Amino acid sequence: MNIINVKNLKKNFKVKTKKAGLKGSIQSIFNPTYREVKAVNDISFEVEKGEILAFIGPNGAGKSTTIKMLTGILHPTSGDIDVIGLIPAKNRKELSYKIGTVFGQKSQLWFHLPPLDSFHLLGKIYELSDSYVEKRIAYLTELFEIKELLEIPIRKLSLGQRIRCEIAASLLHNPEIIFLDEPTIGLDVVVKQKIRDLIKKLNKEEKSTIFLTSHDAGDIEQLCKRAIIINHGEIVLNETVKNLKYNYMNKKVIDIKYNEAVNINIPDVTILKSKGYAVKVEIDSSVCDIDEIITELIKLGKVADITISDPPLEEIISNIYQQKSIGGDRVEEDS
Amino acid sequence: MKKIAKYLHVMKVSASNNLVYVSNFIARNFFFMFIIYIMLMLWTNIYSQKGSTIAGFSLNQIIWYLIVTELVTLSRSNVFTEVSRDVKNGNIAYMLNKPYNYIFYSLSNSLGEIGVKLFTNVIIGVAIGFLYVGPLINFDFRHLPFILLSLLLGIIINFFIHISLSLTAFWLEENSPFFWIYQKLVFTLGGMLIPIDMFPNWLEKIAKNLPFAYVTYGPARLAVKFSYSDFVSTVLFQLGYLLLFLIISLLIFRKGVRALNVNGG
Repeated sequence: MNIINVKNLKKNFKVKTKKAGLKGSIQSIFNPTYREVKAVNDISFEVEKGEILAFIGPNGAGKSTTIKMLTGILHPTSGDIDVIGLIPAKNRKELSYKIGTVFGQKSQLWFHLPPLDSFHLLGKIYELSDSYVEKRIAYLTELFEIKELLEIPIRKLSLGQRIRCEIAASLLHNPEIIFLDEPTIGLDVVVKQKIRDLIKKLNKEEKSTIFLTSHDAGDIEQLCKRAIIINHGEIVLNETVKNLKYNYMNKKVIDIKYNEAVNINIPDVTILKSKGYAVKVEIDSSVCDIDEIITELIKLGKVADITISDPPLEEIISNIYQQKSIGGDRVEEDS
Repeated sequence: MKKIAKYLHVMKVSASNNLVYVSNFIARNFFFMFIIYIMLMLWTNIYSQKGSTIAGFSLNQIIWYLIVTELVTLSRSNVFTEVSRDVKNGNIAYMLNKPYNYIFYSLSNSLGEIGVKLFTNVIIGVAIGFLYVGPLINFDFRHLPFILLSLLLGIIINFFIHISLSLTAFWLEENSPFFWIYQKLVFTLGGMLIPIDMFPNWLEKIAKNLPFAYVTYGPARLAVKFSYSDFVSTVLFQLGYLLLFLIISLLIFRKGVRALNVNGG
């Protein structure tokens, strides 16, 4: 059953433009010029009930704009949206009882007050009974491990602690869908992982549908079964993460620092950069085994430092474009 | 019932959030003391040359009048800067997808803040009055509830004008000039600096029909020269303007939300 249906959604913004310099500034007073920006350009997709869906793309791809239209904050230029049987722009208030939102870069908690005060206020705002609010708070504090934070003013919390409280706050009214806009932005690796685990747990225990945006490829790999990649307001790819990983996210970047000069000559290993004793290589995990390659690399000389990472999302996207233009070349998975 | 309860709770939470600033508010009261002291010097001088009453006000009344107008202006909330900022930096998105009316939410939020400010300001204001010119002459405690009602209405009108002006941020990048102009209008036509009764006749008539007079002048005049007939006419004017600016702010908000471009992606 689909809980979100989006058809031919478009959103254009009018942006004031100005030529550089003082002359341009004066011109723009008397003769303002505007440019139409297509933030979201004709996208359609569905989300199934109980699914975790990642909406990913680089900065400015139109992810937040889409979330804001799905939650009724922005009015679409054209196209249809159906969220739990409601039209968000028309039934914003009604919808707000059924959804929860977290914008990673903004806060909905009161700055000088401990989270507990904000939770109680939200309970009133969502018109929940006191006993229900207490039960929910007890449940969420345990799930998010925020018991010791409940009485500390928000301003004294670290970003990771605050995000945990923000997510807990958005779940107080037990929403059917949770929209998470960049929940892991600005967090360090350990905290990021913690938030990901929480999201997974949430989906399992509460059976809630989770719609999440991110520009971090790691978020998708670990969380979702399906991902939609968006760029310049258009859907580039709408695919299961399994396929995505197999076809497009098979590249790994390895940075190694040796204690001596080495000469790398291993098949299937592309050298991206080599400076002094430090080397950056890329390997394709669909054609070779990562641990074999690493063993070989380590054998070459004494290693001071090694890191393995995913290429940035921008690269994955350009990779997708390339493969698409070649056409029919990609490997279909037989499952 | 639950619909009203949420706004009352917002007010409560806002008041506790603002209690953090109590020391700031008290520090700001030094300014209050200072400005009234300057006024005292100025008016003492004027009265020494013009006799014991001017336009029906004695020196004692004029100082208490100024204390009340200052009370209203100093106790205003930061709604203008906050709402403009929320609209400009896109934080408003968070407030739109909650089940409440944004305008009334902001009102409750402001009233919580105003409550804390008014509480500290009233204590200091009354102390200043006693210290500078002694108790207000002919003051009757039975009138106090009526005066407070008018004061509260003035504060709420002030709020609705502020929020109407701040919501222009939906369309304008820089809207602080509106705030500045409005402030100066309250300063002059609102009778914050001198009672409107001292204006030339024609200007007095105009000013008494404008909304600015009902933010500061109306309640302050009631405080020093109370009569039930004045109370009725002042409060009727206040209710009229309150309704007018309430409707204006709701309309601006409704139109603005449609035009909303949330900044910052």
